[in-house]
Amino acid sequence: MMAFTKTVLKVCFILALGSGFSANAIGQIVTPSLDPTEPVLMPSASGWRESMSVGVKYLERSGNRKLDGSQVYQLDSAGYGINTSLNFSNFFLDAYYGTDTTDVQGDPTNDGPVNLDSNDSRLNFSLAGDGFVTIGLGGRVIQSTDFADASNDSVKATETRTIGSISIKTFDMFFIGLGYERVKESGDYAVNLNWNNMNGGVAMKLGDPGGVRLRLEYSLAFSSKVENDAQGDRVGNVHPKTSVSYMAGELMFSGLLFAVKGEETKMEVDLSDYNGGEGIDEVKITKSQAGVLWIPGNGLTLGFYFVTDQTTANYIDKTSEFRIHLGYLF
Amino acid sequence: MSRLLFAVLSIFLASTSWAQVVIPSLDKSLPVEMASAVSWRIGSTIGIGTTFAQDETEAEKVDYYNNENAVLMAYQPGSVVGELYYTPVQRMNDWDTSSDALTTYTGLGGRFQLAIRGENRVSVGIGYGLDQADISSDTVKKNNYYEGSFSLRMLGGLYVGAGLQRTKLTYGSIGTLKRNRVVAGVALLLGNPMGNMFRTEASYKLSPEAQTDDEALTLSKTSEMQLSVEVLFADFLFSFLYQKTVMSDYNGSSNAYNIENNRYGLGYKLGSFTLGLYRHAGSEMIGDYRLVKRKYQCTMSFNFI
Repeated sequence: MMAFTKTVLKVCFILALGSGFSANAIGQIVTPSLDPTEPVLMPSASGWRESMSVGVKYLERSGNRKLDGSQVYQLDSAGYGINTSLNFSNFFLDAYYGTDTTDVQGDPTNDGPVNLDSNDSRLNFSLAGDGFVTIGLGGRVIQSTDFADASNDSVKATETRTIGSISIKTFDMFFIGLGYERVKESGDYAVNLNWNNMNGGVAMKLGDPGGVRLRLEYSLAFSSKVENDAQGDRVGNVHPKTSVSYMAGELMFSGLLFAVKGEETKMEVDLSDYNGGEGIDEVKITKSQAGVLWIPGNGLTLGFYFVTDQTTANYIDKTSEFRIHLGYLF
Repeated sequence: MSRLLFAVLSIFLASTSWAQVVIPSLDKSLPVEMASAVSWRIGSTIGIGTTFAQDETEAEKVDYYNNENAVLMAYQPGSVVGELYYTPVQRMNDWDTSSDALTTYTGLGGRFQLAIRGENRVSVGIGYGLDQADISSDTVKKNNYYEGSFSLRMLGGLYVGAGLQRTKLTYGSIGTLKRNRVVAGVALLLGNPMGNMFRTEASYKLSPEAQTDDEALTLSKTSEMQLSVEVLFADFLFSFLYQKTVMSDYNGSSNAYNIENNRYGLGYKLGSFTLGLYRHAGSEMIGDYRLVKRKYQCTMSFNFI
């Protein structure tokens, strides 16, 4: 029962990370999006920003969970995010806050984690040197409330990330980036847990502001399995071995930005008795998004994204999302 | 079940059925369907319209009734354009193909669209729309959608556009359906806004099948094709619009639900005012059953820079 609870909790938390707001930052470990109102994942990426901005976004998402081919939950989510990026000479500051709430309809006896509520706060600083390198420091706090099972229907957890990263530009168009995250997880149900998350990626950026531009980025994140046993009245906790791959492709001409992004997360788990059904050893989360935005040199920016998510465990969650972006570039 | 499906269909096609996709109509009181098309409006507009309809099946005939009243406001202070379209009065007939009977119900609808035009060459827009119908005293159906779209202007007067609508239909306590509707089109606009103009547009919309898990509510795969031609000559506006909608495998049978509509229009432009009169003639068919629809529509708009 302990291993079951620990793994379920972890899947809960990964789902929390996988909800709407994380999709905002797909493929921004090395370089920022050509949409300046998008938040970054690694702080050094913000050092390559070309303008100051403020942006808001609103999302609406819906889908369902199927277990053995039958729908057990209907999932309806809504959320919003606010991002601002400022720079003073070679100093860059990025701040982001996003929140996401999910309404679950279905029989709560269908055990299985569902993220009910998530708040994501990020603050990133970065210094740029000679157009060659950027170094960044950042902090990120994610608070989540998850449904774990019928008797633990509102499990709260907080994840705090301390981040350091570097990004190097070479041959005018290529970028290489590395980042390290120290993650601390705490909650009112399971024991605390700490682990390391390594990030790395490559990017290519062609074109100058005002002209035809192309940005491609491929990046990875990896963390090993970490486990803590139960203490007192709090149950044990485990972070499964996790790998995440990000891909981003953006093409901009005449101020019109076409963006395609994808993210795939794989977690090695041991859910041998999960739901009393067939056991699984991997949970996979895939996200795909495509959007169109108007990005002027300065002034009002507007756009939208369509996003599809799928989580494959011994159940399958499928959701689709519509997100609108509104911002101002200085 | 056929009754339920038709009611569902009619609200999906309610207040948006005549809207243009890529660029606005030369009759400025008519709304656009894709938000990005709002950017191609010339100036700001206040418009009103009213429609009277007649429905007839082999078994029943509902003589001319006030089908819809509408108001449109489009404001364009610069490169940002907003459009509000509201139909506070909608009256429609639900066609029960099992008995050929028509049952009247009322509703309302509206939508708001916001778009930005860049360099007079590109447009990006977002929109939200809502249609609501009171099917019975205890059954209300709502169809709302979010939309994102973009369009490009090339070679002076050629426009291409595409977008996606994420629709959500709630039918009383029976269930909720969600699906994505892809919209795309191409248009050609020639002439001088202060003189003679020619406009034509072709568009296509595709929605996949959607079904609630308990199969209580179903929407078949739906394709919609629309072609319109407008000529503004010597202050007279001549227009024609053809529309065909096909719902395949309707009601789980091999019968498709076919809807065909033709709209003929004559208008007159007097300075900043435009007056339009339209005649709609259409039919809806499922197998051997047929519903004939006739409409007369009057529009009036005031345009200002």
